[in-house]
Amino acid sequence: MLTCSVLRSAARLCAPAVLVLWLLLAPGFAATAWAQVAKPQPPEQPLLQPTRTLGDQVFQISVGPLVPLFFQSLSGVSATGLTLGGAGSLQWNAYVTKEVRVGLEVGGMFAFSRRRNTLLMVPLSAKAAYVLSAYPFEFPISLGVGLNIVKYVDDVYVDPIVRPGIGVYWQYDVTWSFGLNMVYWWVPHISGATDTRFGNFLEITLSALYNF
Amino acid sequence: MKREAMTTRALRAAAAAALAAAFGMLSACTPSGGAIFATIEQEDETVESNLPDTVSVTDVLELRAGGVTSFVAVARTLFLGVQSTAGDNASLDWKALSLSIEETPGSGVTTPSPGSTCRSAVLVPGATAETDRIFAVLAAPPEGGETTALYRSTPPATIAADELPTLEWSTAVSTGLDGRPEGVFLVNGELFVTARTSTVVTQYALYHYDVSLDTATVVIALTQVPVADGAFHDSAYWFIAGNRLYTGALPGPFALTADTTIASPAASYGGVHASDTTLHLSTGDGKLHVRPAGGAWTASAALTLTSDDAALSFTDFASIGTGAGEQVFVGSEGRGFFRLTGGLLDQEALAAARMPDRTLSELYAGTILGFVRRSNVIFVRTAGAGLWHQVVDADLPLKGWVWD
Repeated sequence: MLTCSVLRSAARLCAPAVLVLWLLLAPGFAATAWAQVAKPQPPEQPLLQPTRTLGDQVFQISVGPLVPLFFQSLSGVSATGLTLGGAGSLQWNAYVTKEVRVGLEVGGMFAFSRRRNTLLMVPLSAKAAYVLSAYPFEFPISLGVGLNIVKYVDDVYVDPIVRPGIGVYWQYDVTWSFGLNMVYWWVPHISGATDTRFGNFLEITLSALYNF
Repeated sequence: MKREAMTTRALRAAAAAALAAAFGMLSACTPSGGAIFATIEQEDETVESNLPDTVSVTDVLELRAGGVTSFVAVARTLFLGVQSTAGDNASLDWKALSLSIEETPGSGVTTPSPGSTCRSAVLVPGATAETDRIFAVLAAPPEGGETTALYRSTPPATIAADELPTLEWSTAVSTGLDGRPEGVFLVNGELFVTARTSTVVTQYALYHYDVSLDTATVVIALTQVPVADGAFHDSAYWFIAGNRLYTGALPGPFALTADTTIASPAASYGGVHASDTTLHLSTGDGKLHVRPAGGAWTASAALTLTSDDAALSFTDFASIGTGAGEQVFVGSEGRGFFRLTGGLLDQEALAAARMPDRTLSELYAGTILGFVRRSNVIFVRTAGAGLWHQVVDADLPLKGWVWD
């Protein structure tokens, strides 16, 4: 009986204090609870480094200067006499593994001779590349082999062409890459012992790649 | 996704278009040529002078001035060209000559006339260099229009280095010359003047001008186009005007040729030329005609470069050498010029006869207006590619052209 009455008395004395304490602390507890509810959870970071697989494709456009280096004959090396020219190309490639891609390339170049005539070449080649990666950069090492249509004044001829090259690309995002190529053009022009020449040119182009 | 698909389609379309262009380029040209790189490697640079690249030259006069090799290129402006460096095919240093014209005929007082232009000029050689005379049709621009008149000038006796002489022109008294002079010709040392005789209808006449008497006599009247070219062969003068060929001896008049094998071709005559023993005639429908002295005309078929090409439009002739060593060339519109064999060409030999070197595209594919032979120099007048020259002795080499 006494205990109950003491407890009742204590409750009567403590209640106001508890009420005051509750009124002081409740907003804090409420704010904390609200903050925990409103703060958005950080989204999961997407994976930016692409991984290539069989079937992934690439479209590439390149444009830049072309340097005529020299003509090689059966008796020696001589200057071409050509001016600095221009080159451009369109490529389509498909990945067969994550490092290797194969495809087709059609290009073009022009340069001017000493008599201001225009040399035009249109290479059509099959191309294979091994792509080294160090994200966000890629370093394709390529080799193209095909046919080269050569036109000069009113002469047209078709020669074989071999085009080894290297490049460096920066992956802007999953879809786009941009970079620089250096491609060597070797064009054997067979025409008898005295007129056979091997044309050597160097292409330095900027590229944009569309990956899909 | 939609944008990616559109980009992919656009890139595929661009690649297809590039492939199509490549095959179009290949199919548009017959595969030929086996020494492209060797040809490029062996090209030498064209020697150029400072005459404007596209100047249209109607004639080149050779001056006999104090041992200096000098010429006057006749265009709307007269240009004096002096050989600047030694060597057979050295370039010429060209400078525009100023014209000073006698305003009042007979006054002897000339005033600079910077607005005047030259229509045509020839040099009539005298017994000595001091008696050489240049006759020209000059157009002086008064207010409201141009008038032309015949003038004469004395070429300079000497030309000092870096000197630019002024040609002073006095009115050439020409009793009997009616109408407005349009051009002058020198054929067999005789001066001829074409004139438009009516401003109401298109009507021209050709006059023979006697330089010692200052009189003009009509030799061809009432042509619808001005006389374009003339030659002296087999003791007669031959002139072409449109598709009409006139012939006769001085003092005239000259008559329309009665030879029906060459009279009134479908196209205009391009040029008439007398080489050592033969008279040459070309037409705009691809035909060449030759006539030996006292003989009959022989004609080629209408010549084309390729089977689907239009007939060649031949222009003027040039010849170098004499007798068995003579070589005759004929110009064309857009196809350079051709070396003739026996005065004619046949279709099979046409491609091989085309000149000059095909890498000299300004000439090889150019329109050759005509040739001018001065001593051992041959000038080629073109439409759109200015004036070219080469020093020749017995042959015309494929290299050595100088672009004036």
